[in-house]
Amino acid sequence: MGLALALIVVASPLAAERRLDVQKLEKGYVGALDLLAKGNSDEALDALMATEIEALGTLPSTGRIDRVWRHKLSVVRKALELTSPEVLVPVIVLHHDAYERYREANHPVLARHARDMATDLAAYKAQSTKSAADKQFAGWVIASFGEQVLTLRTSGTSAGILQDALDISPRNPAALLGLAWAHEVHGEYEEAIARLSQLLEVEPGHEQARLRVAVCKRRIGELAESKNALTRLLRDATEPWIRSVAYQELARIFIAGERLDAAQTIAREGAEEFPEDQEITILLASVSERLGRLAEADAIVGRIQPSGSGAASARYVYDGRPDLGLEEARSVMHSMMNERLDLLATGLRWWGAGTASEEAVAEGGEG
Amino acid sequence: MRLVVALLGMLLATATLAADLEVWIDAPVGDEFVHGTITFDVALSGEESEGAVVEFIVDGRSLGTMVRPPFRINVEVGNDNVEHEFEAIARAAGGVTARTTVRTPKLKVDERLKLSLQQFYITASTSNGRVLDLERDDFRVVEEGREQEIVTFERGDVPLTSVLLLDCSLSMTGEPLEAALEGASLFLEGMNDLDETMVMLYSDRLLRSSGFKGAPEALRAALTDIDASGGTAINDHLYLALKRLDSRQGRSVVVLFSDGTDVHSVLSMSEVAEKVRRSQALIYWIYLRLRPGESVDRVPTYMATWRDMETSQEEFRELRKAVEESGGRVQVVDQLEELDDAFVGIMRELREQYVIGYYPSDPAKNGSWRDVKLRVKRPGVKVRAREGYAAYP
Repeated sequence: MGLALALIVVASPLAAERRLDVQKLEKGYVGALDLLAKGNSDEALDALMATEIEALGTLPSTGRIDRVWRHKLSVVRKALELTSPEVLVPVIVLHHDAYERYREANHPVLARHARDMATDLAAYKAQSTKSAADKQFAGWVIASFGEQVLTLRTSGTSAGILQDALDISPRNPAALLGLAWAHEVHGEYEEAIARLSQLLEVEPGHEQARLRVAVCKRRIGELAESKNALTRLLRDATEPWIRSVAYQELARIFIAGERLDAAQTIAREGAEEFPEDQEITILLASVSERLGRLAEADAIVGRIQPSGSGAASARYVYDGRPDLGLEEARSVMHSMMNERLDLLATGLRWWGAGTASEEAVAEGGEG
Repeated sequence: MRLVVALLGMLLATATLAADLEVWIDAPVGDEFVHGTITFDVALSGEESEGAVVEFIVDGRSLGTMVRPPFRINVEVGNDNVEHEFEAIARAAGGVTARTTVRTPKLKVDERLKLSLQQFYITASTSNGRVLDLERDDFRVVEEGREQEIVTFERGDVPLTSVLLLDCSLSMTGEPLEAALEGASLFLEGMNDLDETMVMLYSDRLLRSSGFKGAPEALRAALTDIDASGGTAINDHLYLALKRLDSRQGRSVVVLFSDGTDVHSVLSMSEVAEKVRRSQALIYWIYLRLRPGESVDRVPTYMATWRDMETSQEEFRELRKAVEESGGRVQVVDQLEELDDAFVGIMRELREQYVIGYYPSDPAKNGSWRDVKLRVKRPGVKVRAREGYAAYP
């Protein structure tokens, strides 16, 4: 975040690493933004990527990335001077979208550059305007990156990104849920509970957060609270996988307390509600067998049928990266972008008839 | 403790005359209760008996057909106090058929006591390899410090019922899964006529189950057209495999294949270990490590919401302990090319085992663990078998 801000305010020349065609870079970047301003977002992405790959290659050094960054920011700064901070929104969303495209194309360094550009511009805008809406927007942008990294289970990295989102937008539900999940994967159950509790302050009915709190509390030995939370979930939760896990975990609490009859009752209720749920059925059979009800256990096991390509088990869904609910946020981001394309067009009017930014003129010798 | 039982004799054996072919069941006889592993012995007579074949059927299930004498097989009928029906069908080359049936009764007892034959499957070896010529008298069985009387003794090709439990989770995508399915197919090729196997493919859920079948070609069909997907729930499916084997008679085996440890099961391994102790099944675990040189004690550093690092390590140790307690073993595989040998080697080992049975001198069934020591009198011979059992009713 600080880097973009500093580069906008102070453009210090960096030593040339190798020849960089600055005018071509600026022309390509402005061309990409111009396509975006005209509503051609796919073409704009193609143009942006072509320009950056041309300027950076696929494995650029940090110094070269900084120089390219600076020249791109000089273009953005011009647009900013001519319009308002709102002009940053389409630029941010363009770089946000480029991130995924670079990852798909297996250009991790360029993906990282796109992510940093979008993150820093979003944070800069939020800091500059101090508006709640801008903070929320920045939170969504950063959390969106966090979610995409979270897919890779590099949860240390994702935790850092999601924490950045929370630093700007402390009540961002996606960042809170993603961070909680990352903590859970690392066995940091108390930290997970803390994040989930914050999320429940924002969205008290969040079923998944309630379930995860209950499961984490069981892990740290707060069985009474866990049991109460699971019981409440079974009273009002509607999502099938959440109900399935709640049945299982409640039964497990009773098993841990050697209350096998109670565990069997809960598992039986679960099996009645979800007769094709293999996990609950296996749990019920196991408990029945331990109670000495062998014929019953045999009959229960006999009901289990292969699911083939059927739905994933509830425990697998729980373990997987949670749906952070960012699709809607991304949709809002794109709507915001579209509403500001005219502003972007205005911000690009300075560029014409070969006009280059001051930085490009200053570094013209590089080309 | 000896049981005083009142036997109700029911001699229902019949000998059927069919032209010049006669078939007789010499054993078992019809007035005796049978249990455990018994000999099913059939004799033929008559002019058409030369070249005739005999099909063996027990309780309505065909066990196979023998094409030349002696027409004798060993069959495990379980230890439940139930009637059994033995049927032999002789078929002469000229098309003449003869059949006979023997029904054995259940025990009539004043006080219902369930006989509980404990069977142990034993692999005997020296540093030079397997030892295949031991006799009953070479073995000693000591349960909780008390010598036990061996009542059944078999060697070699005792029929087996197995479950091939194969991990098809996402981490198996591509060559690992192909290699595992190929290895499993080779295991099936080693089946004998009286063997039965069930193929179970699992991930975080049961993906496919073939049912118990005796025909390798039918089982091989269950190994085709499967894509790796989902998570890994070893515990749940090991429990399920053991439960499926509960209802089967005879020597039972689970061959578990996985590339890691449990991630998603609802059952803990300690719960499944309790089931292992109740079961008489042998468990072999083919562990695809793919990290050559790494200690078998080292657990893959995979973390998940259900299993943190410490729990994963505990689950791994518990699984290995349960496998060893069952009398099976962990076969670590570092290269995909080793998988074929791993599967084939387990089948070969099963063919070279001894089966010993005895009635525990302490019949109490209070769920307690009974340590069992198996010893061989011949110097230099080591044995591997389950280390005991839990005495559940």
